[in-house]
Amino acid sequence: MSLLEKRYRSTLRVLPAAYRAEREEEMVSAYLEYAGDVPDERGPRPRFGEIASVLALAVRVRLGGHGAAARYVAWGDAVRLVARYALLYKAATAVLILISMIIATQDIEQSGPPMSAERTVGVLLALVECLWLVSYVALVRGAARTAKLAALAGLLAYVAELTTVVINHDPLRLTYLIWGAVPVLALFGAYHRDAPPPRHSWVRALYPPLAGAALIYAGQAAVGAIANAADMTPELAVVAYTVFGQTGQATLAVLVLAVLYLARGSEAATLLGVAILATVLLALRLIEVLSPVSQNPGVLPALAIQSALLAVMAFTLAITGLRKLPALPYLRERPG
Amino acid sequence: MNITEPMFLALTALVDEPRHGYGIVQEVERLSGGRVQLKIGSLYGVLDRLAAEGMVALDREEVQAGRLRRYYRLTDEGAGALQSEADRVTANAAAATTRLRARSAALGGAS
Repeated sequence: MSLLEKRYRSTLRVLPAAYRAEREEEMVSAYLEYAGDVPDERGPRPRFGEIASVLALAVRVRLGGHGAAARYVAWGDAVRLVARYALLYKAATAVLILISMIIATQDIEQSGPPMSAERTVGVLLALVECLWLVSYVALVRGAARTAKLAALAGLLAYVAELTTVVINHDPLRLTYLIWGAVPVLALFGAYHRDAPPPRHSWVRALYPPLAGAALIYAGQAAVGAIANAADMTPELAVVAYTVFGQTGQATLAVLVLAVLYLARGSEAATLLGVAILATVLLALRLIEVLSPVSQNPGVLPALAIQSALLAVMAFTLAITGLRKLPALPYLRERPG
Repeated sequence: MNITEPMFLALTALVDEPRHGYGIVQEVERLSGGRVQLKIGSLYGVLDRLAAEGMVALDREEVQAGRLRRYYRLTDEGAGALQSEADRVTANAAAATTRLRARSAALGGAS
């Protein structure tokens, strides 16, 4: 076996084993004919374009769409669910930011004097959040490319946050990046040519972010009202906001969805999708444990309880979902 | 199903005879005047989609110099889909040509 063949076969290992069992020999044969004879002494390697095409094929096969094996379609559907739910959360948050910009302008006013660079940056950062709303609406309206571009632009704004993490050593900043990276990765990975998003009405595109924003707002207002009414100490209020703040609300929503889907005996794709979301939220909660907020009395136990619930749910969903995954069929096309 | 340019060219490559993977890559490059150079990973993505739609099917297998070659052939469904797409592209090209001629005539008349 030549060095080039050896290296190309190594590249093909990113493909699922069942797919390789069916395709590897003919792919290697086609590639070696394409590349021609290259002596080992030259240390040949598959070109970047070849490797990229195999990687793209691996993602498309594993996160299958139309015409793929049912097992891979289930994985694809799971990641598509992650994309939709994660985008919905971001879109609902964007609606709240938009409304607060229009109704209550104090946040913008506090960011700096009129026409100052600080205020301009404040307004721009708020508008950047609206990209997630654009992305969600585009996805539900069936415009996958617009959804991807808007989400990618939103993520790029968060990449600047990563610099802040390095400078300030504030782990909480990392959570923004994760919240942005999850829908982008899921969108680009699972919504490919074989899995275009179905086109829904404007009502169906706009209603969930509006309803989500109302829920988030109601949750935060309720915590504020209870804190005031019960005359909570500032320490206890921090605990309440940790449990019922935005990430806390997302955690509660995922836990409720998990119980609901498990009780209904939902299909593998749904269970695995919610398991992925629960795992992401678990990671976010663990990052919060490392942040200065957790130094407040009572916050650490609250985070620990939510993290434990997320871990149990993620594990249960994953095990149940994996057991329900359809078996792989015999992939080979038959003559006829 | 939306037929992309690589799919269109791969189907066209199989019209005259069944071809194996590298044979399709070569023919697609020839048909496109060197503009479309399919990578092997992309080729099999295209073949997977076409096979799933029943547009191509496995014709035969051969082993040459110890290497497996699978030949693919165009099915009747594939020929029908290719014909529809070719008609659509031809109609679009004809519409564009007609308007461009009219524009040239108008510009010629104006000058």
